[in-house]
Amino acid sequence: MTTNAPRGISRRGLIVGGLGIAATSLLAGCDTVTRSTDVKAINRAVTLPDYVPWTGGPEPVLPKTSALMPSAFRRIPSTLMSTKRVPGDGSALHGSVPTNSPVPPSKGSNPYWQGLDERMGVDLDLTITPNADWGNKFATQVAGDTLGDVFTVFGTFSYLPQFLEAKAADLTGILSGSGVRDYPYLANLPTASWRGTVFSGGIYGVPVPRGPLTTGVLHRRQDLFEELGVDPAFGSLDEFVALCREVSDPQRNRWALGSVPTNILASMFGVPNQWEEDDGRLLHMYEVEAYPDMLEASRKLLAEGLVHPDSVTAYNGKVWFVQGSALMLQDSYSAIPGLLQQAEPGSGFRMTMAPFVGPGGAKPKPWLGDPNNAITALAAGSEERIRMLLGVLDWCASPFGTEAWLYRKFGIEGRDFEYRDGAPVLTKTGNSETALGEFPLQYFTECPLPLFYAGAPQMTDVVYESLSSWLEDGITNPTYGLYSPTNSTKGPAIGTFATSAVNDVLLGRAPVSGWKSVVRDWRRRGGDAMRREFEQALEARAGG
Amino acid sequence: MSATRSVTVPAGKARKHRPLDAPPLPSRMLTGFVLLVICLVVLLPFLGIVSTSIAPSSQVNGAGGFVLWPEGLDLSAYESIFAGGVVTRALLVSVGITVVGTLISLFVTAMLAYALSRPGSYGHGVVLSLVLVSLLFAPGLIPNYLVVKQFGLLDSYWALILPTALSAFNVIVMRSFFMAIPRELIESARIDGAGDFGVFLRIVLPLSKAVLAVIGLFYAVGYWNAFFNALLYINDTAKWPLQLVLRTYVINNAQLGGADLGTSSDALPPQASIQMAILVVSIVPILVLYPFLQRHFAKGVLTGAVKG
Amino acid sequence: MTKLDDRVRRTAGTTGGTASPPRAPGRRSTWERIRRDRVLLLMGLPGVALLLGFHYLPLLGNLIAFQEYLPFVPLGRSPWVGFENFAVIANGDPEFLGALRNTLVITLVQVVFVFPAPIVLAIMLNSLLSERIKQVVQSVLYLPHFLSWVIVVAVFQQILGGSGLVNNAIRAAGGDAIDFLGNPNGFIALLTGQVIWKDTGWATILFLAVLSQIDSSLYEAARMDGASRWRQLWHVTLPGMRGIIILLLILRLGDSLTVGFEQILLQQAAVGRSASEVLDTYVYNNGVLGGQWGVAAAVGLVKGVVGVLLVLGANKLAHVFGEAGVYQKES
Repeated sequence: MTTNAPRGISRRGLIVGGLGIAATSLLAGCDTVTRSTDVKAINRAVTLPDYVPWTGGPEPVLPKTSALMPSAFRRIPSTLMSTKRVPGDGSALHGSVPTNSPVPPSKGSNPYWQGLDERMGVDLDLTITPNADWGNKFATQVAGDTLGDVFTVFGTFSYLPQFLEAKAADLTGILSGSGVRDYPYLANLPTASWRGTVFSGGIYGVPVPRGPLTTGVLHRRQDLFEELGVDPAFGSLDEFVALCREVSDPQRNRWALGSVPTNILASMFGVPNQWEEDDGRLLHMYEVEAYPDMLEASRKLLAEGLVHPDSVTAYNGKVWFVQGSALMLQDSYSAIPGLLQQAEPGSGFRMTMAPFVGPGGAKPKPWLGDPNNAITALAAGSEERIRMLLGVLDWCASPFGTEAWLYRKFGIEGRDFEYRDGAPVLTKTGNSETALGEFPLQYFTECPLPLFYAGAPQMTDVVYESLSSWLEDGITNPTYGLYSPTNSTKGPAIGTFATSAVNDVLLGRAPVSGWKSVVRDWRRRGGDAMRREFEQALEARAGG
Repeated sequence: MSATRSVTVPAGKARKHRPLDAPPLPSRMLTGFVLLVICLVVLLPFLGIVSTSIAPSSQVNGAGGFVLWPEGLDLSAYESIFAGGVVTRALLVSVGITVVGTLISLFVTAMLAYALSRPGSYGHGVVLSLVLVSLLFAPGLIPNYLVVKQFGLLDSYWALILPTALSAFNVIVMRSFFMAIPRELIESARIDGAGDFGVFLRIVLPLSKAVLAVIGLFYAVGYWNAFFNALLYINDTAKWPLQLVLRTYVINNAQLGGADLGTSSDALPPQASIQMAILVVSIVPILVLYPFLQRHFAKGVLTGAVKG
Repeated sequence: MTKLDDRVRRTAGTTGGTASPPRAPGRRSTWERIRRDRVLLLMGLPGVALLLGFHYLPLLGNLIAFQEYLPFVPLGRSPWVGFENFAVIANGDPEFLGALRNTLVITLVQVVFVFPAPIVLAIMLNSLLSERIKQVVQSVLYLPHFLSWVIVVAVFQQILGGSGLVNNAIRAAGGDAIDFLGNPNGFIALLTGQVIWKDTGWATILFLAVLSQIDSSLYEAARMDGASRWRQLWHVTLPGMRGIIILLLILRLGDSLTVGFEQILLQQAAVGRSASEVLDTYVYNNGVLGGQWGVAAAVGLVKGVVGVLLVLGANKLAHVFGEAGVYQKES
């Protein structure tokens, strides 16, 4: 599930992500728009599925310093576990999923897809929608009842709990507690991910987990720094700014940063991850003292020309990073394979991640990435059918080290991929048939992401090192998995209002001293309502 | 608009004789210069688009995704988009829909426009108001979807043709042209015993080649460029038209290689090259069609007509 | 010329279309009129059927303007909220008013700059002597029309962006980069420039078709009377295009409150909301994004009503000037 509350000045917020302008409250003084919501009832606690880590696979090559640490591997193991049974019953399975990659050829001309059918034991049919248009398509499918058997649901859909109650299968009876052990790979999904599937006192979906690897971290072009003879290390904000000054050279089309690195600055200033919880009371990051300071620091970075000039107007950070016009880029860990892919082979491209720095030398508390990308719901139906579908989803969650995982990612050996230097590499056919390894089936559910970089085993160690330095201290968004009606219906509008206000400060259109009034405005437009509802939700979740 | 027309000399011939009223040289040069500048301003981005699609990957990456002139030729972007057959198929779908849709649209539009061009006919005011008002009120997304679903058109090619087959704007424009046809011509046909449809077929249509060509082009381009209706109504990706496939390449900020989850693949062309390549592919068919229609815009059209 | 046309049109209106000699204008029974016009009615039938089925039928769905629409509930069964969704317009929300103001300013700028551009261009093209050059230039000019706004904005960013072609050149020459895309004050100019670049060439097609229909004997007559090229323009060319220009102008006015959506949405972040919010993006941001389809429908209804009034008004105005406008009542 994507974040409920809007992020500050993250790239997602700037580009499409569904942010709009605030609507002033239609009913003055009233804080919710829908009439049919009972915040406490919707956020009732439920016994989550047990967490049973899968142990049947290869041992990670690097020790797990924390429960959140992904399993690290450098190569595909020589023996792969096979999934013993075929979960499906041969019937048709219609799924609705988003996509971020070009569409694969349809089943008739796609042996990879046919192979998926065989292994899952169903006749898989997918309605694929480009991610940017998901909102519109999903709404029409909901209205027209054409969602199919298995469908992706993003947390940003308004009236989500009511919708799930009306149309989705309640999985609590089957999955809660030890029930999930019938599905060993689903039991392998972390508890934090399951939290995102709970609404109205029931488990209404299966998570598509992401977790630590979606944390934003500062990538840096180690090779370019070495070429310039500059040490990229920094231990404080001042050192960071000095570093940026040293390497920025607009005349030569080179800027220190691809965008304002929010997460990095947030840990330097001690800004909480959207909301800060203290004994049941919530404070939003906009309201925190350190936030305007962070804004001011960000503004200075932009004003001094240390950030790529198109970072707000025409963001294309990944390309700039690969090209060398941005030496440092804040992006998720999971962007690494893409960056490696786009790099010119033989150009000496090498990247590392900068360690986080805390306020005044204290331990940094970086914003941990959200546990889920989205959740997948099942259409209401007979228990038999639901169990069958869950079996199929279980297969989809088969982890690294299983033969099913390899097939899902790489397809048919010899046709879709080949081994080169012991690492699997997709062929041109494989690229199109598996949609660049991102066949939309991945949105049904996934295994927890492993630390594995086919063809670049050294990255496993680099990322592991970076993660282990802060993973224990990462902070989560305390409202994740909670539902607030105001956030759902007015959240996007409030979010764009806030983002716009932030951009105004960053770009020098408004003074940072005016931030207090922005916060007042934010609170009036719905911030207070959201806070109240989230606090109620926390209470309800705690069993109160 | 002019009420009368006469035979005009086909423009090609005019070139041979310098007409007496040829604009003076300075004026012509100024016009020419202005047009040249305008053409360059228009062409520059297209040059970039084509260049980026065929430039070697190192150049494209080095330039940040947009080059004006390729330093070499690299067609791998085109290869990669045609691999797998998705784009080829979408191209065929688009062509089919455009051809069939345009024919249907022209037919329906011309008939309605003609029916509306006879003021005083029964229902004229009502139908005209219906057409006009439809220009100003647009139905919402979800009702449109529900209606299409209700008619059983979901996932069918007809969903990409019928809902947009009639454009009120085109009807009004065509009506305007029809109304400008001289009454005398119609009257004389009537006197010869032709009924309404006969007049339409034998007098009005032949005289309206220009507007038919223009409106036909408008419709064709409309069908060719449409993607949103396919997004909503078509679930089977095998039935997707080209523009929707293009959208998945361009708008998603797609990670066109080495996806987020640990795979790696054969060296892919740069993202920008692929995007530009598929863009070129989506424009070329219309470029090919246009010259055929253009002939009809430029010439005067009447032959042996009544001159006032 | 106009008055003659008028008279011709008016008489045409009363004669009807049958082969029988014109009867004295008088009462005809409805049934007789239907019989007389049966072919016309049949001809119009497919078009009207399509219009009713695919436009007016879904238009009924706009009743959600009066509901709090929940998509997972059958259409029409969502809770009724009366005129609440319209409150967004009436309650004086400064952002709404700002959006309205931006919309009207942009419309005005577009009518003044964007609307005449294809007319001027068509006339310039028409004055070219070489048919071949004319066709080539035309083909070049319509190209941008085929690009979607996503591409156009991306291309503009590549050329005018902070590290785009133009600014790179400026920086290389030692100057300071110019902020084309992020400057709120220049946003309307940027928008207009983009629209002109994208659609002018395309719009000339229609005008060229009209120009080609102008009687060349009129030009000859004017020349024989000693008219200069400018006078010919004023007395032959422009009047020849007057009808279609007025028609298009009226239709454009009817659409005043629509000034582009995707184009603006894509570039909003760069210049900030207050400079770039227009009615459609406001509705999107406030309505569609939060799942408030009812609000979107409500504003759509209001836009439609305003559009109808504008078209009626503009049409009446056209009549005052002796033009047919979009339609006129038969006498």
